Amino acid sequence: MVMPQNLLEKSLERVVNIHLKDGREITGKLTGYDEYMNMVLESAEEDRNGEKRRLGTLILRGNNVVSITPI
Amino acid sequence: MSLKPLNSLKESLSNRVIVELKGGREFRGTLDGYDVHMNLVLRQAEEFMNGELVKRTEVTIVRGDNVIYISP
Repeated sequence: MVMPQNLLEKSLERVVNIHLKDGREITGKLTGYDEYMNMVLESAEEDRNGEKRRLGTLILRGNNVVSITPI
Repeated sequence: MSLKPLNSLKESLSNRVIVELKGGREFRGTLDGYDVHMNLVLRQAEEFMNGELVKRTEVTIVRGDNVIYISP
């Protein structure tokens, strides 16, 4: 069994794709996280129904997250 | 002694499950892990949006607060 937090730990310094509750997608390099699933992302990009925006470094609050996929 | 939900989830480890989420999302995948928040790790997951397949992924973490139900 792989606990969710262990998979996050293994995903550090890797690019992840994150789905948010409002339908947005964020892609960026995961450089940190905590027990609330708050995350720090670098070189982050936001995709809002095809409308893309570069955000750079990002602190994402965990309560907005639906799913996280390491890519 | 009643069957506790998280113990029941343990029975589904390594099995294919259907996970229905808020907002019309659904995942089908092999349950690889979970924690007390019902955060899940799904392998070979298929993601559906309003019944339509949108993506296949090798591994995905689903945050527990979006879960409506998990069906073994």
